Amino acid sequence: MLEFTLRRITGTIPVLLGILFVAFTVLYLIPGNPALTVAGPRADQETIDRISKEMGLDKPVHARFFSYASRVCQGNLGESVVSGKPVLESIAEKFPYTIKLALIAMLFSVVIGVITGIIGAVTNGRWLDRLCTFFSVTGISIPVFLSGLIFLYVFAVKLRWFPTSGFRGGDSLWPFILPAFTLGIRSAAFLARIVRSSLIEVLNQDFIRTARAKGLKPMRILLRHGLVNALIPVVTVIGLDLSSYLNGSVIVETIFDLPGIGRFAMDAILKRDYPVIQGVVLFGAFIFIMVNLFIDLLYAYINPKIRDEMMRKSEK
Amino acid sequence: MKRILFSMLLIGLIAFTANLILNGPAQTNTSEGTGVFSGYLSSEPSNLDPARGVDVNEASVQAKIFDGLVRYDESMKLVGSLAESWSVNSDGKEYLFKLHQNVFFHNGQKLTADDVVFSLDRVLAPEVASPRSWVLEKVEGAQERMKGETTRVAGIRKVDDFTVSIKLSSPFAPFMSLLTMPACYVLPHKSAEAIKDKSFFEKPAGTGPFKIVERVRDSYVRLASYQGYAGPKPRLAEIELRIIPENMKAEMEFESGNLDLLQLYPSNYERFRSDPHHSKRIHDIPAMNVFYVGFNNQKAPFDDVRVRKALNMLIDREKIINAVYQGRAVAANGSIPPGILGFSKDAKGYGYNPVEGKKLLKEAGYDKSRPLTFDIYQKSAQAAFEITRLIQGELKKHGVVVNLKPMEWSALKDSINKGEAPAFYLSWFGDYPDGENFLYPLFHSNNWGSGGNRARFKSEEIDNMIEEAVKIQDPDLRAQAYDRINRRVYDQAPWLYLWHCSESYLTSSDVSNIDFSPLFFCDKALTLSVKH
Repeated sequence: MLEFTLRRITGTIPVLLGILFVAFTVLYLIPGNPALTVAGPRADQETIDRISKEMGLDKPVHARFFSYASRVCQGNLGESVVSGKPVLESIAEKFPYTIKLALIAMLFSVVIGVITGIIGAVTNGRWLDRLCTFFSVTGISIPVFLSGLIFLYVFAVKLRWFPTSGFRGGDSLWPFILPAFTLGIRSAAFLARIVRSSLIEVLNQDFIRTARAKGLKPMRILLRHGLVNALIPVVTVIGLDLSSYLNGSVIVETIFDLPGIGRFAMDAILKRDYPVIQGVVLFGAFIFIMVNLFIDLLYAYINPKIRDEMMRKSEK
Repeated sequence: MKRILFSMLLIGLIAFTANLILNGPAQTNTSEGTGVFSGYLSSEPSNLDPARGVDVNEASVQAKIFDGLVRYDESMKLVGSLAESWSVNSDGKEYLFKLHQNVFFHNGQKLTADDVVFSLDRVLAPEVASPRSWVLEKVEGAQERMKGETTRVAGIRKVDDFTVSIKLSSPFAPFMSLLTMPACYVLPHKSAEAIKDKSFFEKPAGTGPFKIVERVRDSYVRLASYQGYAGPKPRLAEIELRIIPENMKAEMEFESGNLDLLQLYPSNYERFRSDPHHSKRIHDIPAMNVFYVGFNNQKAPFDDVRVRKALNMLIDREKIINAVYQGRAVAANGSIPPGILGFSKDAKGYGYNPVEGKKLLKEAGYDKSRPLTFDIYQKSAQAAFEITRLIQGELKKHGVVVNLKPMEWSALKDSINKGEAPAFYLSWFGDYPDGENFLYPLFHSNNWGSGGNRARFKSEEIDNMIEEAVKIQDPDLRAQAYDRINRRVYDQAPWLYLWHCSESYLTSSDVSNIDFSPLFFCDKALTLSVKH
């Protein structure tokens, strides 16, 4: 297990370096000059040149990349060209909002998704199953910005059950409920589909039939034997969703006024704040890789077959 | 093992649910106590350094924290701020400012002439690389200072502890207007180290009527009135400015009673105006702006004045104004907006004259068999499309083919500044109410590209006229000179002149005494009061 863990961790290093390179190059290739944003509408060429120099944009691209890469390796993501604040410090400030949002969204997603999936599987083909399918398809189809605005209007503006924004949440999680619900409902819909199909498959297997023949209670068969076995693919989906949520949701954070990573990234993109964009991309990739690494290790831990298979593949 | 996984998941769910229940709903009262004004900004005021800011949102926060030597009051009158009085010498080159003697920064330091000299010099310092260095470029020794040849600008000097002298390299009458700009706000020189490492700007200490008490980035800024403010005391106890980038979200917040002010746009104006509950609290304010389609005057087909004039005649501006702005705009018959020194009051514009327009196009070699075709570069935004599609339609009626090229804002500016865009839809918002701000940057040949003259208009005569006009100290005579230049440029049709449009705001029923001026973003909120 230790060898497997070490191999997987070493394997992430080239991926991170690749991302570092891509994040840098893509920003270099997109049109627009960040010095123009800083300079404003009435700056002459001389001023723009001066600002470009200050931002290090006058240096050749490879020199900029190597100095950036070496700084990142030392744990320094640079400073925002707009506010002058260290990027890492800003990310640390905003990440707690995003974590809260991500975890509560996961909670909604898992609870609603699994329950709906179970109902769908148990009532397979009947009206309740069709209702659950309708819910899933609707959830998947409605874009988050639309559902977000509808929820905001209905539950916050009209019914006033929730605050319209989470800008002053303090330690309470209450202002996160509506945005997390908006974010979670979409992956709940996905989960419901997966749980349903995977549970139907499990429930048709021989060991379930044996369990029924033994006279076990239907609820015990469903939860103890059926659901637990059907949950394996669900863990993968949860892992993927969690890592994307931890990268911040631009739309939900904007609509619900949560100062998380997503909004931070959007603001930086609009202001062409290169160090911030690069920092957020790198941080996001890091989170993604770490969550996936964790899921992989968890799999290997749960099921030694997977570990052996992966080891064999990497030896080849 | 699966059981452990499942149990972990379940425990996690229970823990979160318990947390929710125990903590309950948060107290989200946005305006506790009395006299709290709840406003909003469309983006985070990331940069509160007056020398480095170019953003309206940043300026509106800076204006409340800092003071300059002079300012425009609510009725757009130039009044002293840190300066008690000032005088200009006879050749219009030297300005002497007497400072108030009992002004203190929020951190308790007393304001002296050293602070003024330090702050103004900083705008020109090469290590600051201020985008606003042009504001003080007329000061004697500014060029040398910007190039790093000197360590202090020669033209700004302390006469005594409360007197500052500013000497210009040549007479420049709009200089007092420039001094009202945020770039010229005064910082405490004793905090030079913190200013240098930028930590000062987390919660900057100015001399202004409000000071920052709390700031959560991308969320809100809370300002409290500064008891030691030397000027008229603000009526508000606090101002809370939330960061709300989405207009629709701001609308919802306003309707939920969480905001006291809402900026209205063509897309939501009618809805609020038709609601009797809101309609009487809508404020339409003439703003210092001009909207236009710029032509690249150096490239065909727009190097031909007949083509430029013809296009000005083929657009029915009134029709578009009524359709989009419901009349809240006036056709631009020049670049200087109404109410600004130099506005050409009785100027007759090109008007809507398709017969003459088509005739001019024909003379220039364009007709049905060879239609005039060109691209308009524009921002990729709904508000821009609303206008450009109408222009496209208007011109199509007269056989002119326009292709719209939407671009991301930064890329658009880049291609316009490099002269790649043949025509482009833009606007210009003034920084100070002097006609110079609508002539020199926009049409002087020194400012091609990023300096403001994006149409690459070049006329030696106009250059000379502008240079002479800014030397005239007498405002009436200067206004006449601007008026002449404004008309002369208009006659050359370097742009497709569109309109000057108003800005509209809606206030809540709790707000009273709100003074809107065209320089609303520089408002110090001194007269504003709210009931709650």
